[in-house]
Amino acid sequence: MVSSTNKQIKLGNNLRRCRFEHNEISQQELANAVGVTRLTTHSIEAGKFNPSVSLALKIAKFFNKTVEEIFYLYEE
Amino acid sequence: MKKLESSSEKITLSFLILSICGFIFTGLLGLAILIALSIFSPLWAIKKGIVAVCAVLVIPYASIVAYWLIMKIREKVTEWYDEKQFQNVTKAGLISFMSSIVILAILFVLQNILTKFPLLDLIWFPLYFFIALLIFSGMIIYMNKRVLD
Repeated sequence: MVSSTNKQIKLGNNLRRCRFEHNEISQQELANAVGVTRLTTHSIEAGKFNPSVSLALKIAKFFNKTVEEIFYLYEE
Repeated sequence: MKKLESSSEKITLSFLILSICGFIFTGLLGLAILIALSIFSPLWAIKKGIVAVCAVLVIPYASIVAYWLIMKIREKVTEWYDEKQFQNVTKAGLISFMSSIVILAILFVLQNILTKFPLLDLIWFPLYFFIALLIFSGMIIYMNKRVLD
């Protein structure tokens, strides 16, 4: 997305909250469910890695939520 | 030892062991031994023993690569890594490719300036291999560590 200002747009997420609402599952359990490694779920949750569209959709499907309920854009 | 929870954990561990082995036992040790041989050994001894020394250094890494490949052989190439690992491998590959070219270019120029420096003719391939492996594995370890920080 192109911004008219110099503010940087970043991808945030509610993954931690979703995990806790979903029987407090661990990052490893989420990783197994969506077919990635625990380090990948950890880096997505920490905002250090932006998932692909397909991975974001898999995560949303796992939590029975829309992608927008889990991932959002914010200005920094 | 705690039983590994899943195959993805096992794959992550084998990938990290592969990188650590590549970095320390092959890359770092290989370069150290090459430098030590270059300083302390006569040229004829290096000529005679360089292939055997390099083979011994590469065997542990090659064994782990073989094990990793056997684990992956039934999967599609696109499934060998997950997307974060793929990003790490791509970045590490690009950085090691570019930096090894720069280092080798410097050595090439040095060799042409120092005409009485025939050693590089003997060790250019192991030198390139150990440098590339050291940088590649080091970058993989660094990027994994950065995620956990």
